Amino acid sequence: MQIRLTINGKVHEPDVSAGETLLELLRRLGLKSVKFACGTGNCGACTVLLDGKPVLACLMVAPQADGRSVTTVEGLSADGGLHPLQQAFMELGAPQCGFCTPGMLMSAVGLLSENPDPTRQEIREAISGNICRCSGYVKVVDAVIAAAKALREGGAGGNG
Amino acid sequence: MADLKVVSRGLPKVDAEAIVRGEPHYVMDMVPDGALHAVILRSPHAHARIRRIDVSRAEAAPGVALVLTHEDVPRVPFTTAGQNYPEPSPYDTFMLDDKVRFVGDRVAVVAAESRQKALAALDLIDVDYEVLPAVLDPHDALREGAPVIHDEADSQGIHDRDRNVAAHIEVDVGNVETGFAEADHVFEQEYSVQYMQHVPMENHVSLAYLDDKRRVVVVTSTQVPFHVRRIVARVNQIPISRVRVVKPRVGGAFGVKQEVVLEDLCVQIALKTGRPVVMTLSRAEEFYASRTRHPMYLKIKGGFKRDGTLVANELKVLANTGAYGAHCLTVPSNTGSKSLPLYRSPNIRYTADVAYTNLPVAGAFRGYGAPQGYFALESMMDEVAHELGMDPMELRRKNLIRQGDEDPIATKLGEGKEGFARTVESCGMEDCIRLAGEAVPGSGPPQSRPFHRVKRGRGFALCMHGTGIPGDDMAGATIKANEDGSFNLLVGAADLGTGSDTVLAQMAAEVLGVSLDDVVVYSADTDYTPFDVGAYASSTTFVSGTAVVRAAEKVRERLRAVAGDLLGSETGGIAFEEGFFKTRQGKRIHMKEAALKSFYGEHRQQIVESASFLTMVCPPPFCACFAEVDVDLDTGMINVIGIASAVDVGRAINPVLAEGQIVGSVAQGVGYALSEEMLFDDKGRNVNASLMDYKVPAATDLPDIKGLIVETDEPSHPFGVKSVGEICLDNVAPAITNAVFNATGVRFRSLPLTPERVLKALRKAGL
Amino acid sequence: MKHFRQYLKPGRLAEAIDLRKDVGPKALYIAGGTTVVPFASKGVDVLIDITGLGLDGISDHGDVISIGGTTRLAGLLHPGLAAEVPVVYRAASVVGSPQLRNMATLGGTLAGVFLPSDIGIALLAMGASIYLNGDEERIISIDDLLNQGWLSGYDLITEVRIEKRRKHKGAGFSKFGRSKVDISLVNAAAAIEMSGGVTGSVRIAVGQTGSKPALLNGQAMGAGGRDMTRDLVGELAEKAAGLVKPKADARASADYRKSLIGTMVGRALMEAAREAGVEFAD
Repeated sequence: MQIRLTINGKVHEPDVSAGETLLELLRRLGLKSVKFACGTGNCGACTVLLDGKPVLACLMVAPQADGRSVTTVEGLSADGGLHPLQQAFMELGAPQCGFCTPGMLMSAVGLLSENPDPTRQEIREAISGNICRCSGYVKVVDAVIAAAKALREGGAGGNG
Repeated sequence: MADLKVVSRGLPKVDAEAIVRGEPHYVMDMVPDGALHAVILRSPHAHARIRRIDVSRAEAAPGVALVLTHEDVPRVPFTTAGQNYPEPSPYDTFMLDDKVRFVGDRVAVVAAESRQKALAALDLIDVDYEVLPAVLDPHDALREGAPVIHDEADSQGIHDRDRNVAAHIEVDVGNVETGFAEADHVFEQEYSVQYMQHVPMENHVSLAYLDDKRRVVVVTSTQVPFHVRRIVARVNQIPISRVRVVKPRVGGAFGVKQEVVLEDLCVQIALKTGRPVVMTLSRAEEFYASRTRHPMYLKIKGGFKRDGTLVANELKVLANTGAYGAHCLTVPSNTGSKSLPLYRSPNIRYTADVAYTNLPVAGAFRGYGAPQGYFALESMMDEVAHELGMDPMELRRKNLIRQGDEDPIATKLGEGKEGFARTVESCGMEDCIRLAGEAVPGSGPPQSRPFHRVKRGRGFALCMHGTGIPGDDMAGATIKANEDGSFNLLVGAADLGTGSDTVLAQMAAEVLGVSLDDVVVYSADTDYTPFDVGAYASSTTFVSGTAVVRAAEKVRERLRAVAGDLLGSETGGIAFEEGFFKTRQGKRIHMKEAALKSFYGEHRQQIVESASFLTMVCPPPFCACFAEVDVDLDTGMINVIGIASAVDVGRAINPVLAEGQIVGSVAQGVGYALSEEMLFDDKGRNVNASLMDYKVPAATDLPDIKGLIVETDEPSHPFGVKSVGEICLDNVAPAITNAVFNATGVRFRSLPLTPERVLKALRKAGL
Repeated sequence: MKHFRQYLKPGRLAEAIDLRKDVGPKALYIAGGTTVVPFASKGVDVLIDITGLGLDGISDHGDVISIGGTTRLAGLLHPGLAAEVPVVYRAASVVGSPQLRNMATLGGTLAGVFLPSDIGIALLAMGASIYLNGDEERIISIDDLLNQGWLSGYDLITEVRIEKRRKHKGAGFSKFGRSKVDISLVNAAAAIEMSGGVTGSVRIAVGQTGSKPALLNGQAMGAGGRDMTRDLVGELAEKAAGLVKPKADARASADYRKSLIGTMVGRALMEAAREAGVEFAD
């Protein structure tokens, strides 16, 4: 069946099957940032924004995204620049192996769109569905704090 | 050290921007259209012979290109362990065999047009198994009359095949019997540790295809590209020269990818079909069909004088290596060699029996045997301090190894061969103790409520580790100058997200007097980069780093000679400062100009230099971990409310990356201590092979872990480096169990401290 | 790739029910999909998406709050709900992860795989009413729903109605998982109504994932008419632990669950009592 959805601001009309997960569809369309790591909804590596809210692409079938808007990490940078979250992650050494990073970034984007000045505990809760095996989360939280500050102070660039 | 410009800076990783942009550089992002997908049929039985296997229905299934069983592939005994040749692990594994030795063992492989079609064809393979009795406990495996797991005639290097002993270790220093006789206080206790899995976020994945010269190219998520090349060539019976292994970005490893898990089969399928083929593990397979940490039973006995002086120390280990013996000798060797030297003792004995069982295969996992040893050792020290009425830190200080000391066990316990002498040339343990202790000073009493009573406690544990494997770890580096004064740095070293590309480039940039941007790293490609053992044993910054520095120094000398020509001076009279070559008279030329002229000047040449380095030392980093915990007396839940790890790393080439290593390994240590455990039923099936039921710490399960760096400038490395990759995991579990004891008076001698186990023990203690 | 062959998204409730009836057992309703997508049996071919039927939303009906069956759990984290039905708010805030809460729906958690859910237990203590439509339109008590285990026939949950909190009435919820993000090994909820300064009615709901929940009547347990004290709470908690048969599975032993039941009931009762205006001496 054909569906119509917006991905990172661009309209797509792919042919999908009822059994294809949103994760498979997004990767098939070239959005390789969305990762398969568990397939059971427990690790968050496949987190994308669905109408601005973080969801797990491995737990959705593609037709559920019909008529909806999806944002992935590829859509975070306006004009090729870096979103303040990406900038902060990079500068503060948050990503190690990087496999959890896209999902982690999307959960952080979702958080900051609702809570522009989160505490460290609120950040931890927002990323509690994103497993990182490398970092122990400290630099991730540091980066979200820094990015939140940059955004509040009018940080330029990026689609929030 | 003189004013460093690039080294000691927390610069962003060279690949950080591509990571945060989510750019496609993992193996699964590179699978060509039309590649075959192969999946493995796995044994449902813990121990069985394959009497008959009929794949005809599977071969005929739609989209299936190839089905292989033991009848179709070469039978070459090998070890999957990624170690130097000749590997100190038994050759007890076959690509496909007519016997299966654990639930999940390989039975057959199907390659098809899609993963779905391959999976569907698995159901069409008919296997007639002769189910054999299985052993699921290493004690049982060693008993008289136990089923023999490796009864095949052609395995090699098994210590005692008929008794299921994969490896055996016995080492003596002095005479422990005499020592115990002289002791005022003898302590003896048994501890046990569990099956832990690495849970890398990226499951194992390998891609193989034939290039335009019909060589096999293996693009794989690995720590050990060169070992993979050698091993897959051998088991597929093709020359090494016909294989190229490339490591792209790796999504985490921690030891589980120091192993040939899929590559051998990928190559076989690529050779037989002529088509690209990709294989990956599901998350469930990642648990039971890749590798794990070695579970162990550890009996430790310490003899102490009344004043706390350690006079005899004996550790006896029974390790479970699972169904195959990858790393079965070397991990348990490290259990003794990394832990026992921490405290001076004139008499030391270490013995280990490593048993096969019909359970998932243990292998390399960050710490590599040391976390197990330290759980026993640092528990003993805490228990003995309590028994002697001594301050636990005072007891440690009485016995700690010091700068200038020789490690008494090093020559006797190498990795499968005689070891190398080790003298402690740098030791920052006191600073580690001070910093970590100050970072977890202890909070006031916890808040208790009805049905939510809480006790709070604080504890610590110390450790030392190693840096590389002396006499064994070797690395090469090649540096090629470009006309703009940038350099290509080619290293075989494998960056796993650890940042080794960046750290090695920082060292090269420092020597060459350029910025990090001027060093372009290409790594881990067996065709283009020099040999490197790979990312394990906490060796890269030290061993690969020394090779890089030497290569960079050679390049600098070549450029100095060019500068000498241009400045009309003997090279001996030319200094290199702040990027300039200068004569004594003050004439100077910038290094970049020298580079340009080297290409287009009178004596034009391509400046390219290589160096390799074999380490002969193993300088120990030192670490202190302090933890504060809340114990919920009504549920048994333990909450780590504060934890700090301070580590003497020699020098942190990149402090931000070093901190990341500390915090990340402490997080894994917390999981080891409190929640991570593979569970099995009585048929040997791993019943919690999912992230829902194998509990890895999430962001809400951890406090802000403090990672603290101490620097001591180790003399055996040009930049004073030791290591940081593994050590901070070693002492987390005992720091936590010592804190729990401090809180409750209850001693835990088995990991993990799940809430259920804790509550049972608390109730038993009347709490 | 999952095994589903057909995906339908009707625009009207009657259409959804007709489709379900037409296809029969090979069809499943899907709302959030967080249990259907990973766990639906191989026999399920057809997915009928019910999120387009306007069954989401929270509305105030005087004494009761009405929550639409396809309201996402994240939607329950609503300040209005926190004020009017705090126990449901609290239960919703500890279910799964943020992503799962954005996807899973209230109806789904009452009809899905991991029964009884945290929210289900909170609603059970509250005596919520469940509005069903399928074979016929009807209202059943949550007690009946959770007792039957699965939604039967072609039923789907259109609405859940819960009484708002009132003076002298309080509810509490408590769950235990092996880590902060986990399904419950044991969960418990309690609803207390004080009457004339002493204990009136007490409903205690206890759940263990994978088995039928227990609903205990505090009055039958001897609490009626007595002062609500810490000791009474302890007595009720201990009795509850004796009355509920603890299950054993790979996640926890029966013994451990028994201990947890006592503790979780105690915690839920304390919270309910405090909300009902009881002040406990320290």
